[in-house]
Amino acid sequence: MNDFNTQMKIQAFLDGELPEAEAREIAALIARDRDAAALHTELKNTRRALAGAEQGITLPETREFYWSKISREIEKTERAEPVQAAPTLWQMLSRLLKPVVAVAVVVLAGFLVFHQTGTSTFDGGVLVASVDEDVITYRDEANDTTYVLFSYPAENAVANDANDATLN
Amino acid sequence: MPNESHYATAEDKALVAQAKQGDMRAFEELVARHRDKIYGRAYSMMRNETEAIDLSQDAWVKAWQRLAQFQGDSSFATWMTRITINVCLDQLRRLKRVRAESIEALDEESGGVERQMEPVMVNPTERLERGELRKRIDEAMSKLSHEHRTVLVLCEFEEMEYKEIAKTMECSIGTVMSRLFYARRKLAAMLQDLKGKNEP
Repeated sequence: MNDFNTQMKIQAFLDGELPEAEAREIAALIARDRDAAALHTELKNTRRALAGAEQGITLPETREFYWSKISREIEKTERAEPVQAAPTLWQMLSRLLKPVVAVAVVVLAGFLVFHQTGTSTFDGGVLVASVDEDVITYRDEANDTTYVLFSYPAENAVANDANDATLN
Repeated sequence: MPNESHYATAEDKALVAQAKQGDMRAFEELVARHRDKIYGRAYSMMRNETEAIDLSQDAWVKAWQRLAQFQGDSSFATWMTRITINVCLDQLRRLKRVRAESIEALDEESGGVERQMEPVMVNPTERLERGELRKRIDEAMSKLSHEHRTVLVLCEFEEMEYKEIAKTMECSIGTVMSRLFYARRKLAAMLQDLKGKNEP
């Protein structure tokens, strides 16, 4: 019995998956080795038996009945598909501008702090966290102060929670 | 609106173009033309009539939804067959998730008994009538695991290369080769057994 690797190569030879040089080697092996030849014959016979085995399988339903279910399903899925309205120009612009506005707010905040203290507090500051794209937290170590910057309008949940906490 | 005889005589390409415009009658004609082949492929993979009917119908619905993606690089029948294979594979994966790992899979990992089997020297299907041969193959194919059956269908019926089968089945080429080997050897042994049982 040939090793597994050789068995795989005999099969690959049958399937036309071997490179030319290896195919020549395996063809020579099949010609001289009884086991290799027997395996090759068995695999070949199985392939031959399977050829065309699918032909002659017919759908056990009438054309009309089979189609009726397909057409019903197509109509159902087309009805169920939500009609997505195209985004307005303002929606598209605001989606694009959000990150730009967030960066501008940070720069502006830094600028204001710099003017108030006369030194660049960015040297001692840390941008602590960005909870989401609308909220930026800035820690000014020099002044021992934390700034939480919200985009305007503050319509996200974090901002609302923070506002509630401040008001209460 | 084209008349009935137009649909019956139109080429697939023309019907696809009309179906892309939303003509359901053109799509119905495509279904009528290729229904046996599509059902046959689903049946080969699932070995269950009801499941094969349902999944082949699902495949047709998917094809309608994706018609815009069909560029005509292959024939409509080939494109449709690939959709069917994918629908069946998805179903087999769902089934696999809910059932325990089969002993077949363990066999595959450890090498399997098929490696050690003596080759079947006599062609067990020689001189069989077409109907009898199909019946025997049907019986033997039903006894194979889903993985082994699928790899045989993709290689023998769909004539895919190892590389393509590996991509479709989401496994390595090595796994494809070993599955194919065990599937063929099992099938040969089963056909031999069936021959023994059926002969006096």
